[in-house]
Amino acid sequence: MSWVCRWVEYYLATSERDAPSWVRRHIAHCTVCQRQARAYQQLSIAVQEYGQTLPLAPKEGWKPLDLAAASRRTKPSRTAIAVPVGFALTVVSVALFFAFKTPESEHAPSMYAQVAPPPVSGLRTEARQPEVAVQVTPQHEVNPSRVITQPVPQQARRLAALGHKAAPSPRQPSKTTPPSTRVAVATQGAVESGKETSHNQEETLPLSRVETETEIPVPVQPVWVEARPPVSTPYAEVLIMQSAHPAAAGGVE
Amino acid sequence: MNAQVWEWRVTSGEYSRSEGEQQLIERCRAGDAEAFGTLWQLHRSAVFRSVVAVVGNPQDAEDITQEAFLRAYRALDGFRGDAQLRTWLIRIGVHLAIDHVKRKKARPEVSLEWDVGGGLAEVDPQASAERSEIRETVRKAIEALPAHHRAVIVLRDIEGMDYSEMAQVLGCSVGSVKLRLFRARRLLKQRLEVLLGGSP
Repeated sequence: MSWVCRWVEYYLATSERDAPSWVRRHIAHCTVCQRQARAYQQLSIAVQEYGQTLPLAPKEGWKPLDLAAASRRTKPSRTAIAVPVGFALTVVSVALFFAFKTPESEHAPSMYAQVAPPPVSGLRTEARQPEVAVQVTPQHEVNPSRVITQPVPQQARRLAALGHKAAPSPRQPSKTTPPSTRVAVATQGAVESGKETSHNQEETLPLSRVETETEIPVPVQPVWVEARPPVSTPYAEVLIMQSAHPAAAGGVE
Repeated sequence: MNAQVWEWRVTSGEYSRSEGEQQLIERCRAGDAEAFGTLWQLHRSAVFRSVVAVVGNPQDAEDITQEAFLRAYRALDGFRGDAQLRTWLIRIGVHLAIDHVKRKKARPEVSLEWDVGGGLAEVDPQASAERSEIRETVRKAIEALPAHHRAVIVLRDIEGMDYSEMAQVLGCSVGSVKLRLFRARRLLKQRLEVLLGGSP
């Protein structure tokens, strides 16, 4: 049987009366397809005769249809289901919200969190830049007995609104000084105050020793350092100590 | 008939449906159980014949027909009117019948009472016996088919549906219906060739 005959068989099985013209032409010349056409024709007649023998009703007659057992689906029943489902979803969502909500004390910034030491990697990178910073920073801005703090923009704006013009203060860091420089200056200042020596380029050589001191292993967990007034103790201050209130550091007069 | 109503019926496909049936459907939706009883009397024979051709057992077919009408009564609000009510009811019944056959996983029971008074009137007793034998053979061959092949044969050759109606009943495309019918008929022809010794 060729592939054309297989296509003709498909049309013979599915298109009883409206077969394409090329199918009819092929059947007229192909004996195999003529036999197939007769077979499908007899099959259709036999099935239709079988269908006429099918009963149209049960032998004992129809039983009454019990519609009382079938409750109809209506929209009020859907809404009746939707209300408790919505309530349950709301309860579950609220419960999940409170289950995964952490206490506020874990996220709120505290005074101790502001003086927490930076990570070890950041500490090392900032401590390795002192040589450039010493050359850039003017001598009069270096005050080893104080911790340089950031200006408070909110209070400055308030003073500007009252008519006060912020006078240039040596306590305020220069705007061109990067934060890393300030750290380096504080570090150097602490070392110099301990030695009570004058500032010159040769005196900055002990910075390498300071750098080694800063490489003291710092625990990963933040160590809470209590805010205290800066003292001129000979230990190296390698941290930016920004207190909660600017007046505590003497930043704003 | 009002021209506007006529145009609405043509565009919405309502024109082919009898007006009485549509009114009955609306009454059923309003909660009139008596109207659904009228629909039950109108369409139960067609549904029963399709179901009994698939399941092969009149007792099971009656139960399935009742279940199909109960489901239709419950879901009457979801009947959009895209198809005729008869097609929709046959669809429910045929799907229930296919599920029933698949669940039983057994051959349908043979009921010899079918041919009593159900066939064509034959004058020649010998021809009548041959016809009866052929119908019995065809019935066995159809019942040996898988349920989904049996359903497509029933819908096409017994219910006389066109392909679009069959696609609505079976829930597939017209091409799928044609392919399924081709496979079913080819399988049935092969079985009948074995049973009848080369004829048809």
